[in-house]
Amino acid sequence: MAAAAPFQFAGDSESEDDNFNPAPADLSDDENDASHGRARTAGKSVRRASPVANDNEDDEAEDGEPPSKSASNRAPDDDDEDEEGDEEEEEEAEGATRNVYDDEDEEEEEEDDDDDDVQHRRRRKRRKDHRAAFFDIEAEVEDEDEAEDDEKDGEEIEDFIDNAHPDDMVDNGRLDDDRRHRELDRRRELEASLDAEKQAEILRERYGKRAPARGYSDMTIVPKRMLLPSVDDPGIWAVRCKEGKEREVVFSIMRRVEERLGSKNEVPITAAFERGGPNSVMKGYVYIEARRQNDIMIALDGILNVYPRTKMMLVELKDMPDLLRVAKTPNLEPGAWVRLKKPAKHAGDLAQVLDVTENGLEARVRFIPRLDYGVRDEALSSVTADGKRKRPGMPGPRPPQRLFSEAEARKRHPRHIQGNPQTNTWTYMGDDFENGFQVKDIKIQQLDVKDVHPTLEEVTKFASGSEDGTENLDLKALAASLKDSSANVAYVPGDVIEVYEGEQRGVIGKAVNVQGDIVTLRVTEGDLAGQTIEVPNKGLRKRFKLGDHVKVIGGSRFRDEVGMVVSIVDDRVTLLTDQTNTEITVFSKDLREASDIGGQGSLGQYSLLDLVQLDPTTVGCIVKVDRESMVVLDQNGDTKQVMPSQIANKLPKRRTAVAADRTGSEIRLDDVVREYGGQQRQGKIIHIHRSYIFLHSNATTENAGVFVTRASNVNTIAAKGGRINSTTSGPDLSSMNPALKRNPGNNMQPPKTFGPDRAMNQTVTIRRGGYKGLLGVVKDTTDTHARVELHTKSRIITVPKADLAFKDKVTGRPIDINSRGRGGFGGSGGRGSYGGSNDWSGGSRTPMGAGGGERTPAWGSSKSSARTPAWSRGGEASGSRTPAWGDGSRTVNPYDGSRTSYGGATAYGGGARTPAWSSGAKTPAPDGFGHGSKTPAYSGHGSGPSASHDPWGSKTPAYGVSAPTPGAAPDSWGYTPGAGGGGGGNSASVYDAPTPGAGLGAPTPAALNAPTPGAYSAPTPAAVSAPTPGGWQGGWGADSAATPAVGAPTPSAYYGAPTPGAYAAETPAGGVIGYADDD
Amino acid sequence: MFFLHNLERRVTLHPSYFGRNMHELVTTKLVKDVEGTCAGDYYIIAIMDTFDVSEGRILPGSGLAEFTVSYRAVVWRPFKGEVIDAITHTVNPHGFFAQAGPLSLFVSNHLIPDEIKYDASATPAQFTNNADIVIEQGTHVRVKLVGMRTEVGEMWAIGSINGDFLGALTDGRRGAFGVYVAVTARPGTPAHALGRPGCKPPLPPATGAMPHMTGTAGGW
Repeated sequence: MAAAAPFQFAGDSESEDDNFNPAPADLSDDENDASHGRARTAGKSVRRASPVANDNEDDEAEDGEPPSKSASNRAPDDDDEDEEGDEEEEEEAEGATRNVYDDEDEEEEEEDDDDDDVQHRRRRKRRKDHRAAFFDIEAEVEDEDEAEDDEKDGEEIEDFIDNAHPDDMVDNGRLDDDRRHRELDRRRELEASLDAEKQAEILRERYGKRAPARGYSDMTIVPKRMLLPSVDDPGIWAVRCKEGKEREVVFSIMRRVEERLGSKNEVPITAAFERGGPNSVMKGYVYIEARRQNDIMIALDGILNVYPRTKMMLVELKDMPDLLRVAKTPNLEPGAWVRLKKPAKHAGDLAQVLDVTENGLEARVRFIPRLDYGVRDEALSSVTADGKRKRPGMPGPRPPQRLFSEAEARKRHPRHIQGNPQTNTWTYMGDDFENGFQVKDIKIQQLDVKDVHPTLEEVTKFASGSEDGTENLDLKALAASLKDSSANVAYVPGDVIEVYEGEQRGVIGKAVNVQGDIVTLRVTEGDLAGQTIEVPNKGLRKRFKLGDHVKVIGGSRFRDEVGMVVSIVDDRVTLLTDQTNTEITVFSKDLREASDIGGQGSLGQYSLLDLVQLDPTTVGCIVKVDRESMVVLDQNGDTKQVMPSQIANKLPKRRTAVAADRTGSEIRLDDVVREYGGQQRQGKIIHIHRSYIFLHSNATTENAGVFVTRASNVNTIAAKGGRINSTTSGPDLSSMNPALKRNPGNNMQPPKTFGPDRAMNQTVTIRRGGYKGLLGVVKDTTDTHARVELHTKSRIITVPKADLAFKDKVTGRPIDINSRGRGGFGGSGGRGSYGGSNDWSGGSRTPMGAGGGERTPAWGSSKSSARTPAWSRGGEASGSRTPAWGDGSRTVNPYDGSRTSYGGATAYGGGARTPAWSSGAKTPAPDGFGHGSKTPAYSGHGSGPSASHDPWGSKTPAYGVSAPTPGAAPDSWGYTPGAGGGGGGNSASVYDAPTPGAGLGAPTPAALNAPTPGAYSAPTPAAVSAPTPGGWQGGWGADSAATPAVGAPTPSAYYGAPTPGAYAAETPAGGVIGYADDD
Repeated sequence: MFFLHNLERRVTLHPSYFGRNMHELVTTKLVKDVEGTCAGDYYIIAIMDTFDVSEGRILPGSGLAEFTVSYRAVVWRPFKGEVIDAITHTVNPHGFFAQAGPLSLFVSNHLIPDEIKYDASATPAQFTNNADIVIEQGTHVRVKLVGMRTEVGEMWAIGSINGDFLGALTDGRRGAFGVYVAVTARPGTPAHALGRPGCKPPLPPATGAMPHMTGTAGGW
């Protein structure tokens, strides 16, 4: 070995050193080989035979000269230098051939270097020096610089000052020698004291560094673009071959090259390669590099599976680099998921790879068959009506995916099936089936390997195929395929990440930066805490802790669910969803820390537990919100999946909605009720819709705990606290003090009227709309609208009643048709006088109105205050309009005494409904300053205006009857009719009588007196004091002799009188008629 | 954990209530509004007193007067990792729900020791180890909170009984520790039941009206 020679002289120690550790030399050799293998492009064998190599040899010849020069130049050097020079010489001589035989040369160098590490640098420099000396003067300068370096080195040992002339190197070298020997000894001692492992490490460190450095320097010498092929380079032809046999062809070519190497007829090509593969577009070709096309013909002559005689294509220069570009091919592994492309029937179906053939072209996959077991055979094979056979390729709708069933197959095709029931493998119609799955060899081109995204449903079909019914879903395999399919797991800064693979395994940190697939972590736990490391995202997974609040992101079907982590196994995280309290398991890559306040699931404007209208008759409560659809529980208890577009609208939650439960007690939102009978489910009311209530319960997770039932089917368990406590905890302090309110509870509606609509045949004007201002007559009515025959045009139009203004037929004055004789217009309900108690319970409120107290109950809006209730309109001749008497047809249902004040003929006699319903302003009883003068029962004291001016009792019509007006008692002033009457001499009657109002002081006398006072009024003043009113009235009321009360026993007095109307003729009517005249 | 916490709240009062007893009304309103509510991550159990009621300020537009009231309240804040006693109210195959006072919590199957299994055949359904431990509706359990979720007006926790001294409280232990009574903390709940100091609670064992305070009461 030539390289070893120069060191021999240097001393035994050197050689010993050489022996001491020969291993690293070999090791580094290998490394270098490897690196050179990488650095140089094509294989050596091909290269050698190539014309390129010949070119190099030419260069070699040119380079041949300098070495001899150098040898002569160096002659003066002493032995040491000479020896080295010889070596150099050899090297230089070889130098030219280095391009080809570089490896050998490298080996030599290696050994030199290994021999002495310290010397290495210097020697290299020196070698450079020598070469430089021949070529360039500047190299001399550089040389001196380096020599200075040496000098400095030297100074460390002794003050050796010299220039760096090559001739002096001898001394220099000698001195160095000594030093180095000593150093070597020292080092050897040290090494001996170290253990083998550390030594190995040191050596590795020492030599490991070198290789890349050197390769690097080699690489940097040649600019990359110089490596690109040029027109001078051989051309590349694409030669057809049998698909799938590309590699074999190349191997055959290689064999042939080896066989003929060195013989007369060497294979005249420079390279051969193939870019086959199942998905490659370059499959079916081998690529041959050669000078001439004919060379290829020669080279490929007689090689199987390749067809040089067919058209060869010359690859264009610019395309050549692309031919060698490496694209990563997806590798199929057994267990991976793929999608089928080819059998049209199965296009898009998921399949699982069982095996891949050796040539990598086909894969054995299993999938769920789509079989119709011949059901449609006849239809398909039959001849259509026009005598043509149907086209076979049109199978119609493909059968659904179902596992293979032997029984069904036997039904129609008993001959086409064979197999083994034990192993459950069958062959049916030429296809193989195992355990119900169809198994088939399919070309890999016909499989979709990338972006498979198997859904859990699809995968479970494969998993649940096992015999015993146990799920053998291999989540790990699924995870693998999912990972492959979506390598782009998004990590964002802030994610807590765990490294589970590779060297950094176990490291936990927080991502601070993500670039491409490199994640920068700040380590938070363990020894490395605080450091920042970079890791590829391949071996990473997000890390969560028990109890973390997380949101599902990514491809999982649970996307957007939010929940809390309850369990973590590897990278599978189980969480309990907020919405439905169900547990779901997902991969940690699909999770992200959720903000602390988890959003309730919502889809557009609809969110969980909203009440929505599905169609005019159906409403439903949203019980589940998915990404694009939601599940709705309708009023019938059925759930259905709907799209947001199928929802008509959202029903706002009506806070005030009230329903009655089974016992009739009021239930509202948020009350807790329990079903009566049935499952006795208990829940909180979340919606009330008509007679249905939607309840929510925590006891079940079905339908998010929502169920629906009828309001009449539940019992109240607990009403909402606020309602019950409202009385005890006082009034709402942020709204008006009810104690100061003037008209509490005045929102009661007037009772429905009975009988024909009063608007009928009235003259009206239209107040609004296109017909505004026109006059007409009402011909027909409904609850809301009226048909009006216009005076102007002979047309009948339909107008809302609210838009009508009623006019007097004759005078044209506006009138109020409702006021007339309408029972109980003067209802009570009012608070007593201002001086009344202001207890907020209102318990003491009198029925008498305070405000408009001067009005008599039966009073219309007419300005004539003198009108008595029983009275007809002043202007009208027909007194028959008063309900109590007169024309029976117009009365307020004379048979229903309880509904009319007059029907009962007493103010309060109206029973339940009368005084109570209307606002306090119109009390039957007198108000504070009404002085009782205008009591409801004011009978036909028709003395007109004059009478009305009489403040004192002159207007207590039929006062005898009405003496016990409801409001009598609370009237602090004592101006009750009764009192008034008393003043007239009949006071006793008032107090004797069990007057409802007086006695009970109830808010509405009627309410407390289910039996109308009139009905029981044997002891009523009415009966007692029958004679009085007249007299009394006479006393006070000017000259109005005939009061209705006088005229006859009031109807009220006659309990059981069929119709007040029956008496009407004799009762006030008479009087009224008289007054009508008056009026 | 229970704390004594100084809080502040604005209370509005309708002009119709202006008068001598305004402060009284304001306090009443405060108590009504606040007691028994969940304020983000804690529950206001009871108001001890108001120590400052500001002057009322008329709000332009509405005429209502606004008072800023500073008050001291007993609050309960459950912490992750805290051990509390609760009463099971629903058992299902995935775990069981329990109620610790106003706080609902769920103990998942995964957080129940392996030997305690769900038994659907029992009535009512229960978790049992087929020996002494039975968790069914109404069972008192001692749970460690592992996760908390707070929302406006609601709190929700996940608990674990996987650990020493956690799980069903047997009768003997219950006697020893007293019982965590569900503190619904509605207005009107007797003060002593809410742990209001100064109100002597009836001594525990029989009725157990005093909530068993787990952990130390922090801010007393």
